[in-house]
Amino acid sequence: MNVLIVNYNSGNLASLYNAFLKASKDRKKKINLYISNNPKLVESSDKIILPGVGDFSNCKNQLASIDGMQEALNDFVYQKKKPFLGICIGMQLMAEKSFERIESLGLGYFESQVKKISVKNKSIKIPHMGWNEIRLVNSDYKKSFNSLLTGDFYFVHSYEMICKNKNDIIATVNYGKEIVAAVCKENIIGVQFHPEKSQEHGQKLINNFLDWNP
Amino acid sequence: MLKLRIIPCLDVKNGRVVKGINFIDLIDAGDPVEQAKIYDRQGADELCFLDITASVENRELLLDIVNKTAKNCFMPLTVGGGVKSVKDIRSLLFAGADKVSINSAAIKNPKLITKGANNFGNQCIVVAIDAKISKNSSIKSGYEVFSHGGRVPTNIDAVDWAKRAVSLGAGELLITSMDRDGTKKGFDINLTKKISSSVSVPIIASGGVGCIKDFIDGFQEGGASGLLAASVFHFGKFKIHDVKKELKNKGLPVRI
Repeated sequence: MNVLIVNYNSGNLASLYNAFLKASKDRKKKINLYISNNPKLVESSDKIILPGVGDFSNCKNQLASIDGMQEALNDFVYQKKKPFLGICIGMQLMAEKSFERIESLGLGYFESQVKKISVKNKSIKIPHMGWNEIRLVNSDYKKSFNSLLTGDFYFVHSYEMICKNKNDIIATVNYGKEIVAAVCKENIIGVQFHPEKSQEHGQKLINNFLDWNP
Repeated sequence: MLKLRIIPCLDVKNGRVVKGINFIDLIDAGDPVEQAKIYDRQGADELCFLDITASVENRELLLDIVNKTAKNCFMPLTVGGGVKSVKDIRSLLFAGADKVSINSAAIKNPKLITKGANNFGNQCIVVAIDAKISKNSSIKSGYEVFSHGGRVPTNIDAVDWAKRAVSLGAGELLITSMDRDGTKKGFDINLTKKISSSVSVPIIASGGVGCIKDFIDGFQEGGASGLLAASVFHFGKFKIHDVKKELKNKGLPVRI
């Protein structure tokens, strides 16, 4: 199985690579793990991870600056319909639009927008930073993503995804209100937290993704 | 519910872990990567490396430590000490840090906070503030900021600086009480509370942990989102999981 982490110069890919490497070592089937900005590798991949740390529009611009990458990803997601995982800003990039700093367009895989977390309680700190307990809200995924049933995952974000279609939301986290922790439809999944920083729970999610055959 | 973070800090000098009393008289004690692995197993919520005598020569050494730690510990890692430029931030993030803390360079050049935040996101940029009680009437909060590892007074009010750092783009503040650091007398609750109630971002309190009650006070009284300690963990007075169990028994939100 060929697994590609898309490298578009956004933040800390070393940790993500390390976490997938650890997961792949613990498995029976051999996994070829790639970290690359080459759109040609997208074609030969079986699973793709879109990471993302930092600022939405910076991330989007960096991704868009790689010739042929967005087209290759769209083809992977819509034509080949292979498993695709977005993490943190990587999840948010799958929205239609973000309002972080400046209004910018996303990949549009989910009918959703990305907005600043707003809670009434002023003692709630932004960014939402630290370990928080998630909860699976769509039982269709309780087998394929049993890691999302419950448990503490590491979050760091100031913006949240607001989904138009509530069925796309598969896990939520409470931070002054319910916030989207994971979205999924067909062959695409996105998580707001960082599995690569979430110790055993994170490893379990990575394994769920590697096992996933939507 | 968001959990209180217990954060062991490793002060690193020339590639080795050290911990000082009131920032002076450093005692050598261990390999940082091995220490980090121990804390990982003990259930730390986050790790912090501070390169306390950062110089150009030992920068590579620090990057190597960060790199090796990130290969072994799948938890958030904050690294600071001697960070002066966007390039420094980038190289630490690429070595495996998740957050970079800036102290003296942010005081000298506050634009660095904004540049860092715009490049890598606010969540990556931690502004570390070393504060000390001041009788100076121009320091309204009663706490003055010190730079250069606590050696240089700045005549800047700590609460004012905290607010400004956040407005410039800091995603978190690491507040160290120089009066309490290494004393085991507990966090400076007054300082922690003054800052946590003045800004919208999470605060990590640091300096002075000596007993379990200090952790409870830091969270409940000080309003800190994270509690940082070095010597009590480093010299084995407490194991992190024991502290967290105690805190859970007392009803605090911790991750077990």
